Amino acid sequence: MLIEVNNISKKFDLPKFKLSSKENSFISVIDNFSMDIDSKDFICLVGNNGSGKTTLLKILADLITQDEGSIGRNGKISFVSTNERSFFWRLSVKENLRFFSSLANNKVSILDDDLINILGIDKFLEKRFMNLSSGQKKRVMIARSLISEADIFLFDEITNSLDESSRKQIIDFIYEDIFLKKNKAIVWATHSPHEINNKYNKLIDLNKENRNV
Amino acid sequence: MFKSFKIFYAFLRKDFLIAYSYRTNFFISVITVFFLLFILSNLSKLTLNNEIFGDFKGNSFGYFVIGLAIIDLAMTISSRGAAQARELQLTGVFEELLLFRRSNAELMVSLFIYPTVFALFRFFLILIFGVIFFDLQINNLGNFALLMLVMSLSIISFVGIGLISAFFIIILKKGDFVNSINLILCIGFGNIIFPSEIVDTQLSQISYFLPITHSVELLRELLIGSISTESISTNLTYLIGLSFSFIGIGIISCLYAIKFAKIKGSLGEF
Repeated sequence: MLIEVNNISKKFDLPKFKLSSKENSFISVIDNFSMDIDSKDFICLVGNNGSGKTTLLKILADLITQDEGSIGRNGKISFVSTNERSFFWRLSVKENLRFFSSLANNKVSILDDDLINILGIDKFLEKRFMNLSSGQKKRVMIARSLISEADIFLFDEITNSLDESSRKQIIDFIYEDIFLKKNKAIVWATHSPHEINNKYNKLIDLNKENRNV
Repeated sequence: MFKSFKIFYAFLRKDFLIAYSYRTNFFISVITVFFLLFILSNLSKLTLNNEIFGDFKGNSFGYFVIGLAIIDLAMTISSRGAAQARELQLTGVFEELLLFRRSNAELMVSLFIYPTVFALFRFFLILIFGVIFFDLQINNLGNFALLMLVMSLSIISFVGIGLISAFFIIILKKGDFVNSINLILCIGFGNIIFPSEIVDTQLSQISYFLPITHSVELLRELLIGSISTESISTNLTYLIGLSFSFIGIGIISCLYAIKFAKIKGSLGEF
């Protein structure tokens, strides 16, 4: 088992807008939630806005600590969000990938990996990140997620704002090259599970899991 | 150790390339050094032979220049490093860095590598411009090893103050006030433009707890003054104690801040 999640809960404090207010108010985002992720899993995580998809993925990636419950992690985790700002916009794609590669303890640089060519990044390696299109930025995000040679990839609605053709190319790459060829586990958070029809083997509906949201 | 240097080099290279992409800003910062020295050289004419400068009464320009060089070094390191923490948090890069599972202490210190190199460049630029254009007399370069020790301890303490500022940035999302308070204390009590002894209150005792007080006194003695062994050993002892205290407090507080932000879920907030 790569990840074992047992009865986790997470609440967030709500900001006080009245100085006189003494009561602490909070919102419960994840409530008594459990799941397992195996090395052969392609999990589709479905939920409406505010259902807790991003929070759950961040808890799995250890960017947020759960209030209750426990998580057992047995492998490297990579988290890919929609945040395009999380790069150095004035640097080239090559310099960005070189910087993030330096943080990983890998012997082979991502820049020497064939996946760069498969993703089509080789065509715009020398371009500044800020001059890329949305689809190109998403490809660079995926390339960065491959640097740490993770065992499990958490994708948080990464096909948002992409046209149909780019969306299909990215989903096909993740399914065929990361899931099937490299045998990595995938958790795919989305509003609409039909975008990865016939690809996932488990479906978790957060709208039903966290009924008190 | 080698892995840490690899990370430090990666941050240095990345920050240099970003700074290089704003070349005009770099040249303006060089020109401002010249004008600051020009102002100080005129100010020193007003204060020449003033008794408050003690051993440096005949060389108030030298007194001011060393003060300017060290406060520029201190503020550039602590404020630029902390500003980088804020920027990385604002953009979401900070979360990405944490995903690589490096030591958090190593990551936090890495934020201060380029600011330190840039600050050292400005430090030496102030001294070189002072010597070339304004007749600054530097007479004790023979104590190079001691000079390097004082510079290293000073940098460690300034990074420590910057890390304390980064702690507030991670927790409260703003930390500029730490650098503002530090600047006020340094100018008021740090022997930068006047000796702290002329502050005729108990408040002058604050100067003993500011690393910059001891850095500036040591550098003045080493670069433009006559060296007194007793004064050097006292200031050096204070500087060693303060450097290790500030860097220790800075690193521990940043580790706590990251843990706190993960619990609050506020790592990506700004």
